[in-house]
Amino acid sequence: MIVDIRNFSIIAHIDHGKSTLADRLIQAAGLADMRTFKDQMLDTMEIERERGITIKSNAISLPYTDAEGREYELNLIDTPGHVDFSYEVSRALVSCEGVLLLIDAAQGVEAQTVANLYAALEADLEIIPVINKIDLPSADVERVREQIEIDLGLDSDQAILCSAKEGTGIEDVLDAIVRRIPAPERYVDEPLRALIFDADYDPFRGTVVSLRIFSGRIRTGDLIRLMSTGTTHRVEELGVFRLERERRSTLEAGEVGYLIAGIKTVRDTRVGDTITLDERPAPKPLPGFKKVKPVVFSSLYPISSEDYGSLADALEKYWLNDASLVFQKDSSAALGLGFRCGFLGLLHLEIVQERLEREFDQSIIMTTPTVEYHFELAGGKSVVVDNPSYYPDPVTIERSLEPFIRANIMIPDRYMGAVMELCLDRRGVNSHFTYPSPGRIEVQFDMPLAEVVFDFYDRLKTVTQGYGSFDYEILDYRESDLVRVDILLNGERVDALSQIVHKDRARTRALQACERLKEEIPRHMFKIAVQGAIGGTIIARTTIPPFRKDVTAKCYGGDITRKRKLLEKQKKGKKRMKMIGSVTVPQSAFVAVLKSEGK
Amino acid sequence: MNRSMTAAENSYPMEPAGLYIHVPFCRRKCAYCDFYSITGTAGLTARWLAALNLEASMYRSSFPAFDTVYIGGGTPSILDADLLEVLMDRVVSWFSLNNGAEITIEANPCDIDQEKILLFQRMGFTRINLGVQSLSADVLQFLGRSHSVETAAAALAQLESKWPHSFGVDMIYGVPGQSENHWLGDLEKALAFGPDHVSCYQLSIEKGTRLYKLHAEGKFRLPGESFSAGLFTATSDFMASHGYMHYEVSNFAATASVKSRHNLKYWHHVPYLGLGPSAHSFDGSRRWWNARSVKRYCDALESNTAPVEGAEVLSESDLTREAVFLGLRTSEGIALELVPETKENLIFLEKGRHMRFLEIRDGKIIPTAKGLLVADYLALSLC
Repeated sequence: MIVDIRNFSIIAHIDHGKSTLADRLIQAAGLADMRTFKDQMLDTMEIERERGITIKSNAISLPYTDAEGREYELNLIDTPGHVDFSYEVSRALVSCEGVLLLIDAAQGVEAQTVANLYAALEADLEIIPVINKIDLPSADVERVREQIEIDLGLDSDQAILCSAKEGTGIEDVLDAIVRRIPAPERYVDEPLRALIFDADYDPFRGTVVSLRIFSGRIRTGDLIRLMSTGTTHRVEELGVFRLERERRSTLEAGEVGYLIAGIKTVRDTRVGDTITLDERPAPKPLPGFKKVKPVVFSSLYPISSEDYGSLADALEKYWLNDASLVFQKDSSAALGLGFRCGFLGLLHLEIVQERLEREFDQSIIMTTPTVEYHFELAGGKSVVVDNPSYYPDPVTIERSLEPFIRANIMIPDRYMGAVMELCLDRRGVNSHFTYPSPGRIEVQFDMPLAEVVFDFYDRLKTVTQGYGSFDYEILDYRESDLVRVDILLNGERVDALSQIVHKDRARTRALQACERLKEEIPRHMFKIAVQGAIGGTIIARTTIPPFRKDVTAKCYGGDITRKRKLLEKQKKGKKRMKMIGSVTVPQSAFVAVLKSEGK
Repeated sequence: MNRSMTAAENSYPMEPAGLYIHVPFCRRKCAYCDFYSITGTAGLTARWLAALNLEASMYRSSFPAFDTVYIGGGTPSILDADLLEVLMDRVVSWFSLNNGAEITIEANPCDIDQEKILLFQRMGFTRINLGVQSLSADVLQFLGRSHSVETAAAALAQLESKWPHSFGVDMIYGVPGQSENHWLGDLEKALAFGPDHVSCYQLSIEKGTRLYKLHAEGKFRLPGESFSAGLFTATSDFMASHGYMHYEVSNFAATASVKSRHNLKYWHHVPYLGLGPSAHSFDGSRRWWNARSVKRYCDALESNTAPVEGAEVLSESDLTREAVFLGLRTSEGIALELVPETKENLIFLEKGRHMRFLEIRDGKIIPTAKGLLVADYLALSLC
């Protein structure tokens, strides 16, 4: 019996209820009962569940029988929501025929809703607006309908109302999926073309590739070819995703499933690549494949230099599961041997840091993140610099270029002034405004990437009291007047704290860095001078005063245990610090220097 | 370096254990004090003493001999003659005391009169420690002390003239609004009575006290760190100019022989037995502590159970860590062997020596007076 297929995704602004809706659909399909159910079923990583975000794509096939008794296989492809992972999202989307565009009934349309809509339109998908959280007292369905019409240009009569939390409207959602999302084309007799939209590492089986088959079919035992690299692999296992993997002997056009083919590491596969059969290859791969490039760079060092080997092992293991991390050996005068790493964005960086510490038990220092700069030098040479340590000799620089992005910001109009000020402060240019609906403004700015990757989003949230939302796309490299600001601790330059900044901002940034360091570095028994410098010129300075007194007045028989425990706790805190010269610098200091406001 | 030696073996060989007895009764709670006590005796003293006697009998074989006894509290001097007699003649006599043992009792100035002095003498005490805390009325009031300046002065005068052995005085400084001159003036008045031993405690705010609550409510502010540090140094200098040795962070002695031998046991990491509610004990590798309630303490003993409410077995590294932070509180310092020979420690020691926080001599790390002021920091850096 041929079962009908629907391939779809849910896209939403953060906290609009994507994971909860996915949970309800899984329950409605009978895949999870009361006993096996837990919140955020598809977010399997601890860090995803903790932060309430999706980092990795994930798929699940939901069996569904409609009112007339027709059976369907509904393939839900869950995607990350964050801008750092937009390429992964785009590959997951082209694997679908339709999306549920989820909108919070109280919050309304947000910047990410719009960005997601564009991505879905680009992939030519059927879009079903779903208004969620209608049970909230602050829900304003009529306002959201208006936004759907005006901001998104969609037919709001077609919007489905639901409350994933309460479980209302779930049948309507399922019904809309089968009625409105087109069935996939099933070109079973054509040569195989399967799109890789994700890859996972299983320590027992190697790489598990998530794929969507656009044409042809694969059987267990087939010899497949990855079209971007030409490498071939024998298919060991095929199947579909339930809550666990479920084996099938064949997958064919229209289906979503997984493939295991003795591929050792995740990086031997590339998200967006096309799989075909070696004996009957497709003439052309599926469109849209590109190699993702890191946009934020930072170095990782073990806190204790003898742990370098252990960190190297941990990174290799981590890399098995996250091919978007780029790294190579690096060394620093202050921090010793480590690794220079490239990340998709600051969230990606934080995730890597957190997972290395939690899952691989590493204590690491991460240096001040930076973007990639281009320098044209005398004599026609040019260099790409993603590490301030390799900033060229200033006298040889003829032109400096830095990456620019276009920021899309959506705000209630009362925050206009504050947001303008913030964007101009971050060197925003070419502003452009649209008024998608009464009371709301969409602001566009071209801004240097370096100004937004760090704490821009936090600042935006602050100045808009949480109402601002933000998304960006990379534009191009533009000429800029760049200098390197160094940080000196008691006169010694700490290479790991250097940053490349716009000349006009150098003094402000240096002062900020000094102030942040003053907050982060604990007092010592001696005075510590914290200085910012360009070359030999000091442009900012703060002082960390020495301890004057640090002793408890009384310590007798009943105080000793408590005192030792306190000492142990402080000692643990010190383990997260690195000795640079005679100054002990906490791990947090390296990222803190970029933040414009203190804790 | 031989890393296997424990602190006790290493620095202070064969020092006998100390006995501490906690008297958990006070007339009223002082505003700063977080030691366990109940106000009034609530008819519990006899019951407490009987329980204490039971408890002492339990440790007879594990702690056979002591060379110091310290009756602390609470307010031990609140006990009347017959109770004190039972305490000394029955409880303490479960154990044998070495010749020349130091036997101390803490006393409140309100309790000191000629009769009490004779009683203490008859009971065999060799040392009285008087809780004066201040000789200024406003400071006494802030601290919530039960006695007046006059009572304190009278008690000091009695001790000076009538008490044949050594006596110590407890003082508190760093009280809000108190200037350096004001404090040193107070201290000088106390020194005029010729105490052999002076403890000068800088006021700290402890959880569960009245001052803690007032401080949290913003009713007063403690002096800043720099001023406090200045007071500490001024105190040390002032005491030195009056001939007292600064032998522990808060303790001064007229001569080496009148240092508090009992309290030195804590800093030397020597075993001690604590009897009574909330008292802590240490046998060289294990530490345990009693119920912080007279009632629970008595209930346990009356049903023949030890009133112990918590215990820990100390690992070799715990012991070393304790030896380091305790030893660094004293002018004797610690054996160099206790500190691992890492690059960081060597850099730190060199820097510390250069900055005159410590000296290294005779195989020891010895904090200077300036070093005692940051003893906790030295310990954190070195252990």
